[in-house]
Amino acid sequence: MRTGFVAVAALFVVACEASGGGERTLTVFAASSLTEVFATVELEFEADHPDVDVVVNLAGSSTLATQLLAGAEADVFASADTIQMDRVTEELVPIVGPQVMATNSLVLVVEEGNPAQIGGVEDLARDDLVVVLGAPEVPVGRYASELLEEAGVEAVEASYEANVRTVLSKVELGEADAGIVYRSDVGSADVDAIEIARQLNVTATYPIAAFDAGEPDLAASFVDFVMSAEGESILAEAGFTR
Amino acid sequence: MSLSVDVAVRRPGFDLEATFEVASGQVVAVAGPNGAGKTTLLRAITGLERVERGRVVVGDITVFDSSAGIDLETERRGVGMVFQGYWLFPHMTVAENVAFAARGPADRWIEGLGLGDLADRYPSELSGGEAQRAALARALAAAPRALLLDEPLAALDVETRRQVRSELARHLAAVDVPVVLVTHDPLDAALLADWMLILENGRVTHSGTLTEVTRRPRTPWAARLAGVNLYRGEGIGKGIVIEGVMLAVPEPVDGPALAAIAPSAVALHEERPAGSPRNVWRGEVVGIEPAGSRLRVSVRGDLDIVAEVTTEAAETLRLRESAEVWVAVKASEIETYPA
Amino acid sequence: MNRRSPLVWAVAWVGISFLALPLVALVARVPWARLAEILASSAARSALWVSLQVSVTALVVSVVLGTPLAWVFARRDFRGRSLLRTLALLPMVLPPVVAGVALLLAFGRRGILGQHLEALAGVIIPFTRTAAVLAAGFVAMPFFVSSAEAGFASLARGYEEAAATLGVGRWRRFRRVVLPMVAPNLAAGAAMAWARALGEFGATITFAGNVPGVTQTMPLAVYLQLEQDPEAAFVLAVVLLAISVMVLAGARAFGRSR
Repeated sequence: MRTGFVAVAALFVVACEASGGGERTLTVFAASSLTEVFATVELEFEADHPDVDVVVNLAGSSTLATQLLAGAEADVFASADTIQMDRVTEELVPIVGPQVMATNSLVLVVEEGNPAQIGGVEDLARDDLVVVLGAPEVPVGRYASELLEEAGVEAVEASYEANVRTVLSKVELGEADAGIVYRSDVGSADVDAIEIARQLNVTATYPIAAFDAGEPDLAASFVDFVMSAEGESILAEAGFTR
Repeated sequence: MSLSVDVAVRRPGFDLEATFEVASGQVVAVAGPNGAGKTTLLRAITGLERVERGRVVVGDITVFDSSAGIDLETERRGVGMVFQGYWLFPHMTVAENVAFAARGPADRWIEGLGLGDLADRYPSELSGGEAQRAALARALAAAPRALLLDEPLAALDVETRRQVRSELARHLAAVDVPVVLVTHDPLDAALLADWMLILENGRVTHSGTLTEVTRRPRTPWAARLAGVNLYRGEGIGKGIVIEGVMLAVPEPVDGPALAAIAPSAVALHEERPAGSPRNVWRGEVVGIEPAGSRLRVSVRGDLDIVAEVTTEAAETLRLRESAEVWVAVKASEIETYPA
Repeated sequence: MNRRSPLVWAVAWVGISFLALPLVALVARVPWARLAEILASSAARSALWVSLQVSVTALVVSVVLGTPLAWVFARRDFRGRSLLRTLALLPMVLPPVVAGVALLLAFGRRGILGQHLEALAGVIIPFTRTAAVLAAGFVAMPFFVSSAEAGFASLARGYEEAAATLGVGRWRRFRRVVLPMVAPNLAAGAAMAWARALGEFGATITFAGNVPGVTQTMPLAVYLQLEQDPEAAFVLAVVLLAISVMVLAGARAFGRSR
């Protein structure tokens, strides 16, 4: 019985090490709208740094900020707006940045084929539509409400989701008729995107910052990589602009 | 209003068939060894047990008839039952229990069964005898057209049993619907019933009054039943007079009473015995029968009695028919009951 | 055994501390000064009202549908009984968000039933109060059914048989004999179900979304307020804690009074 326990414990330790292989880990907190683009960034960065394992934690920026303030250890934070980044930098001092790594703009998404015949954001006031938006503290939600206020449109009984990807998936699944997400989110999703007039649209700013959580050099390298020309082209391919 | 029963119940490893009829106001005791099917018989009459084949008629209503496809639910049969476990509703007082299904005011039954002081008590606060009365009152208050009692005294201790038995006899005498009473105690049959059935292994083996049944027992169980000497007499304090013979008894009793003497408590002697036994008389052996490993000796005398002796004792006494013997019964061995 | 085992007590203390400390911390960190202001806010009052309506409705549905179901499970034997029983109790152990996804697949606009509801009657369930009730009811009902079933099964048949011989019909037997005797089990089951419905989050946010005043229940409000105004989240959290304590105490008092 005793030897069995020791054997299992040893196996466990070996398994933990094996995944890293004596590697260094870089923890990146990124807004959910960066899901695909940071997957590519992760691959490229790991290719350049073979001994590094990048772990990306994706969620709504407000959730990530809350986690960081509660003591979560992250080397890099990439937020979808400056408000959430400021919340964090008020308490934690970054070693690099914050720097604006990309911008994004909003787009209206509807069910593929647009069966509800939605023309623009003003249709979000229709009470026959099921509308999903980001919650007010989530950047995309904040941007959307700014936009709707500018346009003088009031969405009736909208559901406020915890992050932009949930907004997108609800439209994709057909449970909601319309939602407001980032242009970069549309990608290969099974939705139709309807442009929003430039004078109404908001520019979402994505700041990125590095922190000292045990790997300061690595964190700084990561931010440098994102801010480099290579990083810029990866972001541009995904629909972001700088 | 009579009760007519003709049922066949079949279950794996069990087989019951019984046919009998009970007239209004009559009490029939169904006696027999454990496992004979007595409780099953009662449950079959009420509809709580599935009956294979047969017919049950309560008064002028056929509640079950397999050939006609009639099978009324229990609640529509009008057959009341007092269960061995009483099943008084624990969340209701005695009064509420009795009134639960009562046709008409329940007070009559509460007073009638002497439950007046207990009306506001809960079943958990009642003694065995009190619970039995409450269960009986509850069943009677529902105006059943036939009443079944399953081992009404089995749950009571020996002392209480005697007293409750005579009370029960009084109550049953006042009931004017057919009553079927299940018991394994022949005294219940003797004191509570007008006639009896013996049920053994799912079949009726004897039917008739206790005297008729025990005069010529046809099965070992019935023979054991027959083994109780039962007399009716007049109690006069510390003694009872039976057919002119006075027997000393341990418990004072007055008025019409019954006396029971177990055969094994009857001592036989060649000569008149000296010493303590006060109940002594002379008799003549009129029959000797084997009873298991012992002998049952019927003696005619001032009082006819049946004694049970070992074969050795019989040899020593040189017992044979027409032999003269002296019968001696210790007063302490005589049980008396107000009749 | 009269000897106290120090090891057992020590481990027990660790256990109770583990359970009690977070609750104590919650109460300790409540910003009492802002209590009135936060509770008076329309968002808080709206979330509380939605929570009460949804949880109570879910409870009623659980009791109405669950009682006959529990009865059938307890008293009838039939083919497939144990499979159906497992199915009925499954939501108790299912991760709530999985329950939410399942509800979408059944009642969502492209769901097995939902698509027909929309096509034939124009009825859309997700993001409505009904969806919130369905989500809460789905996870809560098994708690009631389980407790009710145990109550019915453990009730000795003799009482009902005696009532039948007294000429009392099925419905009256159930109402006046069975129900009062299993009331403690039903009450305990209802309390558990209500508490579960009140606290439901994963299935609600997935299936019913977060529509303020319609489906934004207290747990959802706490979750989202945490990122906006943490102190407000603490206040709402402690209100939920207080309600849970009252439900638990009430259920135990009821059980004891019997």
